[in-house]
Amino acid sequence: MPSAANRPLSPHLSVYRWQYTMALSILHRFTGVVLSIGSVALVGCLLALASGPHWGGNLEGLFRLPIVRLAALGWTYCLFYHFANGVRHLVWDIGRGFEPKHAQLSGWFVFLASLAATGAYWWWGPFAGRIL
Amino acid sequence: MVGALRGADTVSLRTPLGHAEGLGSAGHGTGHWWAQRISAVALVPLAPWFLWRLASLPTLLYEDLLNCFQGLGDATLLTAFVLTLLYHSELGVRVVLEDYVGGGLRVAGLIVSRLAHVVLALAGLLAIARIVTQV
Repeated sequence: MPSAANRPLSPHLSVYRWQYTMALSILHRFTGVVLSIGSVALVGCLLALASGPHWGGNLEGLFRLPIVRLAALGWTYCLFYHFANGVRHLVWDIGRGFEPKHAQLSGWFVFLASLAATGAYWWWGPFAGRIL
Repeated sequence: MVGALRGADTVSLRTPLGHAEGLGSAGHGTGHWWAQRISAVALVPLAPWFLWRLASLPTLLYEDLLNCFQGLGDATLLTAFVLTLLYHSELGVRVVLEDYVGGGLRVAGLIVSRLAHVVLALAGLLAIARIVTQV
């Protein structure tokens, strides 16, 4: 029986020509991890709200802090990106849009749409007029 | 000869590949893949709903935040959002750990991630229950 070391390895990432769709793919995982960390904050906010007016009342002041605003801005961008690119993945899963040309085009669309959605959300959303 | 073939449990019309296909290294097959897709599909309406609900808040003051999620419909959707989000998150973090972390750190990470996600889900669930009953 051959040892694990003798088995063929799949090609290392570096053998591939760099394409921006790879960056989009990495960004999907990165934003997913950020959203996972953000879900801790989300549950924290729910716990604060549940614990009554003292901690729940501090949330408003918390979201006035620029650093918290910046984190929330980052979290919403990650959500929009991961959402849009996730839908792109679901479309691939049903077997459509996987041709290089379509995949590249949808990649650009996802990237620009998530930026636009984040801008629109912060312009008209709950923090309208006071982004940072 | 028939007896010899019968004695071995390798005799089958299925090829070795057919036996292995869909099982994966952990024997779980396509379960993880499906669970990830189903939770993703569930989040397609739930995530925009949550952002829309936040955007419709007049202020972030305590009373407004409380009122926003106290209705039974809103509380139900919020529960669905938080639990699906955490489920999807656990599936995703697991893949990231399996792909990029090795050795004992991977095992530790997988255990911590699983337990942390369960605790977060319980905390979120109890918090929402308390938000609904808050006066």
